[in-house]
Amino acid sequence: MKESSIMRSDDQNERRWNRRSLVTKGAVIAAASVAATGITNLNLRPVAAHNLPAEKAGGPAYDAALESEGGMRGVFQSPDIHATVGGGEDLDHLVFIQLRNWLNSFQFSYEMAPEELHTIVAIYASANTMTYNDTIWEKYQFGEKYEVIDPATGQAAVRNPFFPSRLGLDAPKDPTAENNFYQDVGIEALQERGAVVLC
Amino acid sequence: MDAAAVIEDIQANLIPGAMVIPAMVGEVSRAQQQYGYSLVFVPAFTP
Repeated sequence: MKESSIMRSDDQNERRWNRRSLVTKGAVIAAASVAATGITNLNLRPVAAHNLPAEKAGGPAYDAALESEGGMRGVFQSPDIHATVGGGEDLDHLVFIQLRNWLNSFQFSYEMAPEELHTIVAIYASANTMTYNDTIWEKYQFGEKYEVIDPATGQAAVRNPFFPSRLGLDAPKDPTAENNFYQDVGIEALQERGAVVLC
Repeated sequence: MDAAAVIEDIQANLIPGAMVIPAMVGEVSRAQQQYGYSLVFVPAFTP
């Protein structure tokens, strides 16, 4: 990661955290956790929203995406898990539909190479739950909490219905073929096309 | 189960390839301002 990309030095981070009210931060985080999980009997002790220092952010793929030269770059942002389109076997979120359409427009309408297309997915608030795996969805009952119905069962989702590839990662790479790979809006498939998903 | 344990549990159970970052709103701005990414915002609506 570029030196200029680090927002603050270690010393500045330490001073910034010391000045802030950790009790307030803990109360905010506790409240957010209650909202997210429905757990009500939390032991309210101060806790940070994350335990990740600025210099430990992301990873090599993220750094490569940010520092890429040329091409087209898009960061896709959405706050609400309910911006969805259903029907049939899948429940698709509009942020991933837009991302797929963005990739396809540049790859097939503007004839750009796939490696020239750099995308980041920044989904937060209730949409952040789309970055959690099936274990968390089942454990904290996010399907019931956020009224997300799994099309496969017709019940509140106990898995992350947005992650799996819809057509298989080995779907035809011919964009004119029926059910080809480029139609897939599953997070798994979009990651294969280079999308970096942040949590 | 306290809030710290919930956060730890979630961070240990992300979808494959998901990356934890310091602050989402910060990364959205950083990607735009420092790395030239254009923002595509999907608001809270149902078509």
